[in-house]
Amino acid sequence: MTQQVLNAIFIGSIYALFAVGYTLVFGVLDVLNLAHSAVFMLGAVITYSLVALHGLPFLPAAVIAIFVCGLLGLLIEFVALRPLRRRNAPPISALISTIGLALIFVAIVEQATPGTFFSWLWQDGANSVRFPAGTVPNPTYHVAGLTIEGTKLGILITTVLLMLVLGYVIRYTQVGRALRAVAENRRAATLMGINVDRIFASTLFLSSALGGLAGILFGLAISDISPYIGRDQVELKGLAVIVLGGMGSIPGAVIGGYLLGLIEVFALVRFSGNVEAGVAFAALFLVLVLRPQGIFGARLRERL
Amino acid sequence: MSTLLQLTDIRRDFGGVHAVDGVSLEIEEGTIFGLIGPNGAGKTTLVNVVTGYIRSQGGSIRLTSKGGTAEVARRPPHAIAGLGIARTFQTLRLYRNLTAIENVLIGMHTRRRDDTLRQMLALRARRRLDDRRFGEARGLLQTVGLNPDLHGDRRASTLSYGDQRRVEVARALALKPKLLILDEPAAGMNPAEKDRVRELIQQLNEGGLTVLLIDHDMRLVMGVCKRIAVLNFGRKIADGSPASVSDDPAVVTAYLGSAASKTSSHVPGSEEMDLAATSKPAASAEPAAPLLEVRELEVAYGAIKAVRGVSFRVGKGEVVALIGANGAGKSTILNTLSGVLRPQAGIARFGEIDLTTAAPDKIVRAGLAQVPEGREILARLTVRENMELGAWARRDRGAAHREIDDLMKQFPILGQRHNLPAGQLSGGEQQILAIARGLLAHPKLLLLDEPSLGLAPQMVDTVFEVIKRIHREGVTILLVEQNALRALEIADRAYVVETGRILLSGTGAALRRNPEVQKAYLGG
Amino acid sequence: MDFFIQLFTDPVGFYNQHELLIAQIGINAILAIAIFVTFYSGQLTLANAGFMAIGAYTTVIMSLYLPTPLPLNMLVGALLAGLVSVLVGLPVLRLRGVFLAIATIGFVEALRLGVILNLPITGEGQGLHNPTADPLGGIVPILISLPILAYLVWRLTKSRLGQAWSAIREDELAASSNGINVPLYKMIAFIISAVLAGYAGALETHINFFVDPTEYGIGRTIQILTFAVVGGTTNVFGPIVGAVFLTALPEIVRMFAAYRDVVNGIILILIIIFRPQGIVGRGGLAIIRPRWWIRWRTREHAATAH
Repeated sequence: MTQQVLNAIFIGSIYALFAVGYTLVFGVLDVLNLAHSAVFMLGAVITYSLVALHGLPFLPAAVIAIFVCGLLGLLIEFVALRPLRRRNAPPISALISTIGLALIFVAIVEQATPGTFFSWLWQDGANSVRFPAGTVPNPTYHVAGLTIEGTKLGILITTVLLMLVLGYVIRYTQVGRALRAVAENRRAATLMGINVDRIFASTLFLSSALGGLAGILFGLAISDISPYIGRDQVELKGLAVIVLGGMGSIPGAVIGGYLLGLIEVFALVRFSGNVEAGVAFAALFLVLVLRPQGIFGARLRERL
Repeated sequence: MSTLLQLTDIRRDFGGVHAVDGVSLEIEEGTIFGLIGPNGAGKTTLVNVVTGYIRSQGGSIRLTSKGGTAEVARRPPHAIAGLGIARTFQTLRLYRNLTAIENVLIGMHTRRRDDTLRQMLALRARRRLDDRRFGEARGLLQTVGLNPDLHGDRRASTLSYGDQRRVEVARALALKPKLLILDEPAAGMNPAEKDRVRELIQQLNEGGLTVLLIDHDMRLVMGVCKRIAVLNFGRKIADGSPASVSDDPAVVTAYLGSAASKTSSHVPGSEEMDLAATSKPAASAEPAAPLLEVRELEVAYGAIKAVRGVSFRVGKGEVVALIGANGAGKSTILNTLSGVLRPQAGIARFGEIDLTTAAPDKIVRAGLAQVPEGREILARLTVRENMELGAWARRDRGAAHREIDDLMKQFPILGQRHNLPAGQLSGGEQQILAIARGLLAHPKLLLLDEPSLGLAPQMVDTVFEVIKRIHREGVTILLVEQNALRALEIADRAYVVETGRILLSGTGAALRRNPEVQKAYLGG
Repeated sequence: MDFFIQLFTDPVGFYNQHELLIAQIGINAILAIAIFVTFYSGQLTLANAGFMAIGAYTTVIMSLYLPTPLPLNMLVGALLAGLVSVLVGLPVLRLRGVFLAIATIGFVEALRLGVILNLPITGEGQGLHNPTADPLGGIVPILISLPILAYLVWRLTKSRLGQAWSAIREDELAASSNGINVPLYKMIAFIISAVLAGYAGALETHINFFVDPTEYGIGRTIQILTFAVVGGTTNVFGPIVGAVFLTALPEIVRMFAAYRDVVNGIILILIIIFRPQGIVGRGGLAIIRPRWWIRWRTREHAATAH
């Protein structure tokens, strides 16, 4: 049982990382970035490509991939989001244009087979692959009757460190305050001299970098890299997490991520089979119906 | 005459604030009843309670008609509409992408029987019914003074502001209501347009319609209502004929503040005003080398021309006030200066910078900061964090920190609460925080938008003390205020703004003595 | 381009050769009508794939285990979808915007992962075989239902109900003040949409020998959403045009067939930024509509309304 809880913590870390990116963008830009899961997938795909197809060692490959994902975030901002803001489009439009980008990202990878235009990036089409053995050292530790894999421990440590750094930046630095200011009241932030467009771009960069990193860790821990890992594995779970934790709340996303990990493991133990995934959505449903603002969110009320 | 609508002891709290605190009224059938009060008095909340958008937490609302008496409280809005109470909205809620005719047709919803099945088949009968409804809709547009052929098929958002307001009234009339509630129907209109609104209301009432009119324009309300109730801080403080209400000392105090009740014996604006008399601008020595220069500024929101050719100057070290009624365009001017809005025409220069094209953050860095209307405090950040962000545009972090400490000493309220979320401060404390935050940007020119809005009289005193103090320390100030009396007390020079134009200008003292200004604007 | 050449020169041959494509276009068009109904009332509900699944599985299961005639199975499928929509809608429809979208997505995935993939009767992950499928004959009900449904929904938008939906879409608060029972009308739209989607799902199973659970996930719903966005949601023909255009596109432009999703994605982004009202949106086909038609319409109303 404790073994399962440990697994829950590892997978929860990945959910948390992914969800933080999601909720950051929602909090600051008021937009649900549905291309986030595609960036998650690309993080894994790019790292795999650099390691397996181009022979780079893991760490530099991962760093490059994370940076590229950040750039993809900028792409999302400039192509899908900024033009709509300039036209005062309703929020639904942003949702739809990010869906469009996600479609493009996934299709590019899905169709990349040897001999096609994108074969430098990916050659396995719609199939699932894993990192070549030995990409990352993976000693197993046996402690108190539990088996702990090195990679999963590494994921946990990375996530925790990253969350601490992020938390510090948001709470104690001027940039973090500016982010919070823009999230809370765009107009007041503008009047204080904050360049809101630049904050938006930075947020997307950061969020997508985190998403890409989550994808890399996922590929490592679960040994599953395919064009569909974003859509099938985390997109909707990410939604469930941010709704649970409260949309726009970073601590909510973190706690929600671990909570979901625990719920899933619990369901797996109790019910087994595919119910585990359905449980996540049942939870999502319940939260939306009973307490739409989640654990940490603010009450939603329409102004008359 | 019988009572149409009776409110008894209506209550509504929002988190400890008594928005509506035990209000009772009786509206007589066939009359025009006025509901007035200063900003934030609870008028719109009361209307929202009556029309079902907010639940009342006590009391009853009884609507009496030929069919009997119905209890209206705590019913959903559509049911209340079904009972015959129609309304317009303070913020104008038309179906913007539908045509004017379609808007009115939807107003007929409760009277139109469900014809879903009939619509499925192309029957002649359906055609005739459709035509009849169209005819009625056109008639209603004519009633409110619109030409159906000209305006009927135009999308509502393309109509002028005044016409949009009319369509909203036509849509409400389509309900064939027993009671028509008009919530600030003349907001943002110039005196001529307001007169036309007044005529329309009278015309509708002559046809037998009972009207509940909410507005804070005394002239409009006094001229048209048979009876008026006055709200302040959620309570009813007066209820009677226009004459009795306008002389009621409690009402005078509510509108003008305690100081002014000594100079005025009645609520200004309640007498007949001679609109045609506009005196020539008093001698106003505009500075030769101004810090800020604005010329022929024109700003529009879609079809609404908010600012129609405004020119003024602000010199270094001055306090200049822009006063005028609600919706005159003052805040629009400030927002244009801050770069948040872009003008259609005109010049606005601040030193070297063209404010009409510069990015907002550049404007702040150049030394023009705004303390916005409603304070716009970052409620979830602490007081200290709010102040630290005030210094965002500056490079000298060390100096900024020292100034924050100084300001905390200068304004002990901020020092005491520096670690609390700013949202927990009272309105007046938030205003001081907003000003401190504005100061931290080291502005050469500080724009203050309605600093006294929504504040209790003592807090207003405190805030104006603060403004005087920072002026003494050398900050140039451009102040926008509805509370003309206070503004003119501290202003070196002032401009009177009405419906997007500058009507008068002069020194603060001169304008205070100007009888036109006293009549028109000292009521707010 | 030979696609179009054949369409005009040899329609019968075209029909025979592209039957499956035409059937699919028809089904997608009906799905597009389904999402149109909820869009028209201002709701971004993304649950259609789930209701499709209910319609599809019910029909096939009934065909497999009960002696009931096929049309009845389809009807039951569609109605069951409608029933489920009431249960889903009651808690969910008071949510707005993004939250509604998420809740309906949640419903679809919960249905797929939690229910369909776990019940033996639905064949779990393997899907169901449908021996009674009739790929050739199955196209007939589609071609008959589509124009009827389109007409009915079109007339619906002109009725009192449709006007109420327009009002709700434009401004819910104002709609209440005009006596419109907003929650009720939203629910009605949702139910109609679900029944249509369920019906489309049932139709689809009739032309395939196999009911595949992966068909009814979030990807399908997004596809349907794309039809509506690209086609335009001002009137019922918009989504139909969108469905026809996007379903046929990979056939027309064979070269990009593999990259169809990339093309779809690009079209989606371009449309939402530069022409958000869609191809057929208001102010849309007006380019193609002759001037005299517009003048005739306004004069007609003005003249008849004395």
